Amino acid sequence: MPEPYQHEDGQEDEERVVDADNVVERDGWTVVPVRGDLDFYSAPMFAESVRSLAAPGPRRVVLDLADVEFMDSTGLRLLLGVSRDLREAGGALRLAGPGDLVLRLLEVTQVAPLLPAFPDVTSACSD
Amino acid sequence: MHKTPETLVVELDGSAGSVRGARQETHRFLADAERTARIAPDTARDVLMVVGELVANACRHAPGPCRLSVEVASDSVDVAVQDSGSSRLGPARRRQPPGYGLWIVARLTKGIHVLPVPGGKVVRASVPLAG
Repeated sequence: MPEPYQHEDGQEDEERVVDADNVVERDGWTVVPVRGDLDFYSAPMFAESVRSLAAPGPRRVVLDLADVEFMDSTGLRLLLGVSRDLREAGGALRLAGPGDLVLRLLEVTQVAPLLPAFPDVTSACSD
Repeated sequence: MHKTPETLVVELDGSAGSVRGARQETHRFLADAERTARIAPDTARDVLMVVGELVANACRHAPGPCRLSVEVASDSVDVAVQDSGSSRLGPARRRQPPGYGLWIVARLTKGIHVLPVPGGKVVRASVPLAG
């Protein structure tokens, strides 16, 4: 699939970082599909979307990253912030289906203990 | 614009969207048939990550446009980003730590080098071709 990288035409990307129409509840977890690239460009929109989805109470959230091909340090910092906020509220954040690049990012930054990653949504919602 | 067949140069406007243009051009450059034979997928992935961090750093901290160059050398892929900021990495005032970006670049490359140039600086980092 070609990447929507054209920075002259960013509106489309902004609106679809979090696929809010397809959020589902599963085994006590709120599963949030994320699409496109989670980077310096999209991170502000992403943060707002995820925080609003996770706002009420101690939520347990799974971010489905199967369709995320690129993530940078800005995206990672936001995930860590969301994870901390959820933990402090008695909830939790898990990542489902991260690709090779996201796994590499988690590995080199040594944050895997803070952002548990699972191969897919089913395993992420397993307990 | 190619200085030589093994060098990619991309002029960027410095907006947040520059990071995507930079990665797209780098992806195309590395995916060229003659280069994929030399550049392993893991190396290409690391180069994209380094490009994303260095361009984002330039867009975040330096005013105006910046220039990305990516060169395939004999044993590395060399990434350089020139911007108009002072010859120091990170925020002009040290109110916040540099964060994960430069740490990631340091882990994926042989090291980060900052060279002052007229009107700004160049930040260079090389991703090894093997390992």
